[in-house]
Amino acid sequence: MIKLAAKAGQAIRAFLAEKGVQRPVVRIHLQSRGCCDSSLGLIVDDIHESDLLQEIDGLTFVISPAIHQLVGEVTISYTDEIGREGFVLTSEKPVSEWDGFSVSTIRRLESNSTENDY
Amino acid sequence: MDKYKLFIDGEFVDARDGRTFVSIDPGNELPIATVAQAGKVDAEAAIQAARRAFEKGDWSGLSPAGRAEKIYNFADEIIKRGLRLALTECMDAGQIIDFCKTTPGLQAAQMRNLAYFAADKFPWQEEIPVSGNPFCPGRDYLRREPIGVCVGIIPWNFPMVMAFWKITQAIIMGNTVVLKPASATPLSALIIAEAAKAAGIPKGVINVIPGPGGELGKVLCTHPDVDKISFTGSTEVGREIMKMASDTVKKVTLELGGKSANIILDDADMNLAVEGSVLGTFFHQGQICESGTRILVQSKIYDEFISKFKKRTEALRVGYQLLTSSHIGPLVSAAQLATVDQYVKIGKKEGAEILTGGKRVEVEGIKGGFYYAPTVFVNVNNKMRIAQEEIFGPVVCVIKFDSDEEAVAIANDSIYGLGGSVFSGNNDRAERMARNVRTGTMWINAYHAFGDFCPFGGYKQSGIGKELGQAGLEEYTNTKRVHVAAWADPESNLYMNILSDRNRVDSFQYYIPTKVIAGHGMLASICKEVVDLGCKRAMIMTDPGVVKAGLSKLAQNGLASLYVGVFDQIAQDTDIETVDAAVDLALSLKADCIVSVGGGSVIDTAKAVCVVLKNGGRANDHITGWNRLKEPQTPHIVIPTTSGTGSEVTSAAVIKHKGADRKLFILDPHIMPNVAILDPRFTMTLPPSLTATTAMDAMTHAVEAMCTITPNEISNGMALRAIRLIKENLPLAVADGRNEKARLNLQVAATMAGWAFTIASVGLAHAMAHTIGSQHNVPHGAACGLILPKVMRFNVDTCTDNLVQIAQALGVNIFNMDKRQAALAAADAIEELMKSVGHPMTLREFNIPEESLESLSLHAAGDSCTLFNARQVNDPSEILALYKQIY
Repeated sequence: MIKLAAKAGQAIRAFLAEKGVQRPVVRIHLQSRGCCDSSLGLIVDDIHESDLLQEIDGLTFVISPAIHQLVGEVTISYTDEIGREGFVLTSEKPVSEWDGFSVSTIRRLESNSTENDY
Repeated sequence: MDKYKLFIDGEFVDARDGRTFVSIDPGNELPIATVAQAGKVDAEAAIQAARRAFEKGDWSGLSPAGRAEKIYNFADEIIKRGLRLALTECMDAGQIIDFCKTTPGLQAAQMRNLAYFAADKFPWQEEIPVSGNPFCPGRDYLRREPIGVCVGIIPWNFPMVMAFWKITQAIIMGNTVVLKPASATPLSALIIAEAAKAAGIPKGVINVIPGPGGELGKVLCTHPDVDKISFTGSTEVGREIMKMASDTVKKVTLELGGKSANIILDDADMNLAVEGSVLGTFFHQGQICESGTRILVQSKIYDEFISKFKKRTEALRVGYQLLTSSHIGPLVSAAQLATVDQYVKIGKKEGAEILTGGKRVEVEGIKGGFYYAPTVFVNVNNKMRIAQEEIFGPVVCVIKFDSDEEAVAIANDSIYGLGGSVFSGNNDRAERMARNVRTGTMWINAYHAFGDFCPFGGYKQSGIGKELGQAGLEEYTNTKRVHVAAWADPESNLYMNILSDRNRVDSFQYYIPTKVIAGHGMLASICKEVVDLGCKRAMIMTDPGVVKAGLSKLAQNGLASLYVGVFDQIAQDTDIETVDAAVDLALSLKADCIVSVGGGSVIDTAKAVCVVLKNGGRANDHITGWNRLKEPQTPHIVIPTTSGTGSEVTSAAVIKHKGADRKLFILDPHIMPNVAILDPRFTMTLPPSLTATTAMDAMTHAVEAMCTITPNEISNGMALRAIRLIKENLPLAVADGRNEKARLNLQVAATMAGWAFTIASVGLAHAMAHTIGSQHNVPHGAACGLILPKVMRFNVDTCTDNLVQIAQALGVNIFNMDKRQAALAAADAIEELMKSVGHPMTLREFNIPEESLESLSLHAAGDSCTLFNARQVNDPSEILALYKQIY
């Protein structure tokens, strides 16, 4: 369901530790980042009843069945190229033609507020 | 099923690796065409074709009018393919047919409009009439040139419109283009390419390569042969493109996401507001960057609006896009549908309430398709994700507000700033709000109203740059400034002299337009001069001393019916506040001519007034303006009442500026007065002390004009004659103030000295005099006289020859003196003359505290007159030593 490329798991753990996240549940979700072409992203979230769940290297990943059906297996990579540090998400069935082009961070949301890693 | 190929270098070709993909109809999920899929090799080929075409010049070398002719042919080929384009777009992108049937015709018209504008009105070349650098005279102009190879990357929501925007603007401005349409909607761009080929657009000018952005993006955005990228799409991808383009510093314009606010005020026409909101939100299923996806409704009308908006929304028909009965077609893809549905779930979880919609729709008779019901959320807080993140579907958030200020604050509480609107019955109120919303386009009582000549583009994370209009076309050019030096003599180039040991500038300009009328009773000429200047309403400017002497009245009588008023509150050292006060009076009197009657301060105030009257604003807008005026100023006639300033013929006005703590200048040939009337009656009441100090002002002008880095034969001739006239006539005028001939000769001397320094400048003595004048109110003439001999000795080794001539003009017998001795004797002669006429000889007489000398030196070192002194002045301690000599 979810594959972690080399360095990704370590980067996720480091990011969550830096932000002081106590229960690291990371959701793979569809995000709209302005205009066309939504993309896959990572967000710290709670587990919902209907979620599909996978534990990898001590991290818990969740994804909704609808999104899993849409995109298939998701690969999470991490890049630390200068000027392009962050997570790259690609999927078996790409969400859009820009799959894998952009990098993103892991978002954290306060309730009823915009997240601070937008 | 139709097959489409890549369009590279004027030919339709398969992808190099043979790959293809299928384009589907989002209304029924059925395939409608196979399309060649470009890979990196094809992108490289397209870029090279575009580069070759640009360099070859068949297109970029055409004149804008030549390109326009070909674009008109291109537009005609588009019209011929209009129906095919409309139907293809409808099926490929899911646009309702009622809209896309209009697109080919409108876009063909846009091509013609912009091509004609580029040929007829666009400022390809612009003269810069005033460069703002007085030290580098010459002709300056701007050229706007094509950039080169432009990459256009477009989204799937308006593929045909976006293809036209990117292709047309790029090639109209002489560029070549590589267009990457969205993989979901590639077909209309390839039909446009057919039209371009049929129209005879040269090979390589337009290239179209559909293919995955993730694969092609890096090639297109980093290739060294690409000069500009124009991207419309998501902020996330736009960010990456900007980063990639930065490595080779490409020009980038981005049109990205939005979360625009549609503000409904309590005085809006309700029906208009409801219809406008429906259009603003749900047109093209909300898949538009500038959609009004937050509707802000004023609390007073909230309930009524919600009720009507719900009813109107529910009347929208969701259906297959080719049916003319459909208002809302499908979303473009399954992924987009899933995204919209996810955000609706998020909205519910955040506590917003669904007023209507919020679910997928099955369209009768259609199997499949990506249809979603128009959805309205109410009870939305602007901090919710559904209010902050662009959903890009038929989903709107309605937010209640109380005051206009609150609406603006909510509208601006977004990382985006692309569009927006205000619905109100009061245009003034609406425009005030529009000004305060930080966004690139604001519509009032409308939405989605575009225009070919109206630039479009966002603020903040909605993008950079503009499309359409002159601003959009300028994005497709580079701007070059060309400077053609007016002076060809390297030894006269002040900048080149910095890197040499030269201390002279031999080339010069001689421009003295002031008409001088001199002689007994010449005031009589003033009426004729006013009328010849085309004026009828002359305001006198003067000072209280001149009024008291009866001279203002004399001038007023001379003007007769042409006189309209007098400003007589000019102090010894004028300042910008005085200029503004005089301007206000002149405006109230509707004066069209200024007559200054007085000394340097009055004349300089009048010059500044003429500038402000002509150009508007306040004095502070124009102070330190060097050679930036482009035309004659308000007419100015001068009647000097002193024989010192020379300001009646000079291009400088010296004004005290409290903020800068020194005197500043307006320096411009356009402020030279039109006429100077030297009537000796106006100087006869000058007391002996003022006669002496003002004459020393003139003497300093003449001497310094010969001791700068820019003396020349014309200025030297005038200066030497002025020095002799002052030497011979000053003692006579001091002894007998009624000696009219002596008075006239001193006036003429002052004018000639003014001419001399206008051509050749002044130096250190003036820098030091300006400083003690502005800091301690020492009269300018007295200050000049005190300092002049010391500065002459300071300069003795750098302008020896000219000082020798000055000594001779002063009547010094230089027989048996070597040059240096003779030069020093000139300074001695000045001091003797000063003593003989009772001129002050020390600074102490003006109650200047000794401890202030050091700070005076620092200020004087910063006066621009020091730049022209024959001997370089770099060290304030040298100036301090001179001040101490006269203390």
